[in-house]
Amino acid sequence: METTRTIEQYLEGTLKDEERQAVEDRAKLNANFRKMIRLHKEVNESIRDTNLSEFYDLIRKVSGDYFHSSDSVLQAHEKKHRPVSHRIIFCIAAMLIFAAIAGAILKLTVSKGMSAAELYQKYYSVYDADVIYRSAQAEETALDKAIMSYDMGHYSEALKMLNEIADNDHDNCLALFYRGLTCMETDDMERAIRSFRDIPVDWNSPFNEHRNWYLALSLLNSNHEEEAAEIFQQISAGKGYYAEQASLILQKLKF
Amino acid sequence: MRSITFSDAELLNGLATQDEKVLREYYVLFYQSIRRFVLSNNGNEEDARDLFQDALVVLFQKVRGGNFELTCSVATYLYSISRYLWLKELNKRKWVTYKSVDLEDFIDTSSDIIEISEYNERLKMYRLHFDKLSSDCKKVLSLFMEGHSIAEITQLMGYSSEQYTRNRRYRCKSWLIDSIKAKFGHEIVGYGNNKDN
Repeated sequence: METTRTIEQYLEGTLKDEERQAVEDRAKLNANFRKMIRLHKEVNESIRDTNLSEFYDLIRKVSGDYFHSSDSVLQAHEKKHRPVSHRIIFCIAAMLIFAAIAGAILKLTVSKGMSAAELYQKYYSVYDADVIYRSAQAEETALDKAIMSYDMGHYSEALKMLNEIADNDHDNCLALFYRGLTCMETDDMERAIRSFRDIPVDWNSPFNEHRNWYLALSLLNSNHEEEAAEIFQQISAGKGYYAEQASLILQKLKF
Repeated sequence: MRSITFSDAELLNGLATQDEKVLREYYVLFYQSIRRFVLSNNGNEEDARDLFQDALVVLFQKVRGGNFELTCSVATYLYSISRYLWLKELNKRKWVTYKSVDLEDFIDTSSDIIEISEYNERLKMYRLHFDKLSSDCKKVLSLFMEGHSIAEITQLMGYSSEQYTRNRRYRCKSWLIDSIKAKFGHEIVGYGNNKDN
């Protein structure tokens, strides 16, 4: 307790001159003692700074509310998409497996190629909006919201917002890209193609690779196989993320 | 990004004055972009939540300091703080040469961000230990820190003498320091790390 008393009195400035000097001399030579002084000082600051601890309490409250409501939304979303029972899942899965095996046997016996629709079914997957773009511009706030709506599967809401953004800013390639994806999700392939094609071919963005892939898939699913094949060939030659899948599609595609 | 409801100045002021409504707006407006950044850079949901909280506390410390000048939007600044803190955290986790995936505009933040963040962490931890003290000790130490005199504290606490109050204060402080050292002695006081004792 004596060390505490000395350090506290030193920090308060109530030590006599010679005592203060002795503390400072000791601190110069002893790193642990210096650290003890700093510890006492910071602990005092933490007790004094009730404002900061109130701020932590407030953050805990606000974040608790925020994450609770977010989790509730997620749970509701999961519940909405939860199948009725495991038995039904089992039956559906068994039927699908049976259909898949039967289809595979039939395909092997009849032809090695696949139709455009089959290829589309096989290779299309929903674009996961794992990357979000934001900057200091006001209209991109709306874009963020639109992308989040797309991500959550609220396609009509996303489409409405993306249309507004794209109408006001024809050069907003990211909005056009997401509008194309949203149209694909709502099975409006022609509109998806138009939206993807509104983006310049030389769009200097990491999203361009995804645009090309989804444009090719949109073409594939709307009976424009030759145009789709041209793009798949470019993708295949590009050695990018979709190159292997594009090659497989080209191998299997029958016109 | 500018808030629909609040301007950047209002967002900063609301943070400094701990306005709950404004703080909620921070979560609504900015949390998702920080979360996406963390998830895209080897972090998980819990990391994102902790990081966002740390970044808010750093911003709070900066804003309440008084001479803080914002040179970009609050969104960009908060993202930049978070990015800086997260890259340091990845560095700690041995992702030494990690190159971040950036999803937002960001600015170079000063190195005091880490200093403030670490200071905040220490204060938070001290406070946890303080909260474990007896109510009597907490009250005595708080009254001292609020600037009350020995005579006032003696009276307020109903102690028999001023000398008892002084001793009580030092004893309570010793318990608190011992409690902190017992748990975090190596990190805080650096026992065994120094040759100049």
